Amino acid sequence: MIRSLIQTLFPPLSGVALYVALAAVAAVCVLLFFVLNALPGRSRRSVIATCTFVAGLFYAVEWFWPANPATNSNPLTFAIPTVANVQNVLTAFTLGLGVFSLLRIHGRNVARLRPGWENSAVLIAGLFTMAVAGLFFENSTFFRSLFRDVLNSFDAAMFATLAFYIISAAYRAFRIRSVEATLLMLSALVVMLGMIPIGQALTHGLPEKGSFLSLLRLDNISNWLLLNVNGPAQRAINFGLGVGALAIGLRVWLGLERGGLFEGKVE
Amino acid sequence: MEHASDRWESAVLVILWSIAIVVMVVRAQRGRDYFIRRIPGLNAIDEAVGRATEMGRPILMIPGIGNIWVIIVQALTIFSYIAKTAAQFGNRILVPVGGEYGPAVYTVAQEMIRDSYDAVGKREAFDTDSIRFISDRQFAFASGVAGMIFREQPAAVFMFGEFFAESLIFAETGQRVGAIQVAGTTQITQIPFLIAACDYAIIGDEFYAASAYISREPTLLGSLVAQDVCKGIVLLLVVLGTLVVTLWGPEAEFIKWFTV
Repeated sequence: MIRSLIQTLFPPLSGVALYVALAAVAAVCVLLFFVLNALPGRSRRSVIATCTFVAGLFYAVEWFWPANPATNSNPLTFAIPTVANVQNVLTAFTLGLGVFSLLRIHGRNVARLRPGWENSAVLIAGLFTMAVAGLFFENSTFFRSLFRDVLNSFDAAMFATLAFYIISAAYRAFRIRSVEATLLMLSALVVMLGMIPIGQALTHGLPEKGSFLSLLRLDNISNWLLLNVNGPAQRAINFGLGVGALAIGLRVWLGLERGGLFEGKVE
Repeated sequence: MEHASDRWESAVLVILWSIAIVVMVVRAQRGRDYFIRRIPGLNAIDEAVGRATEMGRPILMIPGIGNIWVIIVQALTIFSYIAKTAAQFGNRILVPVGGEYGPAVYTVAQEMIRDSYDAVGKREAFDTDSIRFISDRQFAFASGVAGMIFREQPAAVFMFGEFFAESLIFAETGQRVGAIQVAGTTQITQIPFLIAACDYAIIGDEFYAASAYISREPTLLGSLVAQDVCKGIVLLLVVLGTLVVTLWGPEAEFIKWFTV
């Protein structure tokens, strides 16, 4: 019933009617923007809290509403993709702001010839080159080369530096300064040896299972540490995170959150 | 599409937890006082800001590369507190933002930091360019922030939010310039790197406790206590489930009530 009502109110459009509808929606959004800006702080917070509550209420009701076992859906399920698309639209709007910020900062660096202005010039040139290539030459070798041979290569290079960062971080962290640090060092050593071929070869001669000696195999000890020590610890942290996320989600949804964007009480 | 009717026991737990949270928040708002244990990482925030002020070097705050949801909201709430303190001491802040949802985070971060300066009466000291969108690509963002750290030489680096492989790049670069680093994330896979590379790391739901710990706002304290009550319920269920499996074996009918 809800679906048919919405389809009656907002039938699919095409051609001129679609563009007129888009223009009308854009005009309404601009008007809403100015209205929201003109509102006093307390009223604006109330509007935001109301919109937040209604948006959260939709997802809560959709989840709790019993689903038809045959279709695995309830009267609200059909709207989930559409509501999710609203977020994508809002994100698309903000992309322009991000690009504007980039151009403003780096454009100013180039215009005033600040130290490092050459890097800013390269960034701006790269931004426009990639934009032009993506918009007008999407299926060409030029765009594919820029993406695959330049962008992906730079990404891979940065990812590769992680190996060296891990070594320097581990060198500083794995020092025997206390009982806990010693345990950490030993367990890290065992797990690492159990994962690499040379470590596994050290205890390769011991039976894999079914014997007391199999408990002394480095790969078995390594797996045991990961499954029975590390795994439960991670699950415990995940429980806390899940409960914490629920608490914050409830606070934001019900307008109980304080601090930052939620400064002051919502009336 | 999952619904409560598929896993009614999950729905019961969610309702139980929600009731606990709302009850504790209401009790806190009516004047009930709650205790929070000391969290070294959060105590270090003031110490780090003070250090940056003494050295005359900026403070860098990185909100990660996640979407606008509870994690980023919590991270930005912590950053707004740090920005207030920095504004009071006249210290410069830098907030590089990036990732696929970076532009959305950028707009929200700008508003929150501006409001923080407003709250302490230092609106004129707010520099719009202190919050910058770097890139929507993960490693372009990482290299941009690494370059920023080397150029700006911050004395304090705060990393709160959703991080992935780039977290170690940030942490190690901050270590190289001698910055004091406080990090908190909900990404289990990144916690070991942050513990190894940062001076203070906030693990798990200490991250969600940060806003309550810093502000001591009754509503937030009540919510925090409610989280502990919820974890107590989970612990009770784990113990019950262990006893049931031990006594009746894994094939018992009501075992599935305790399985995911």
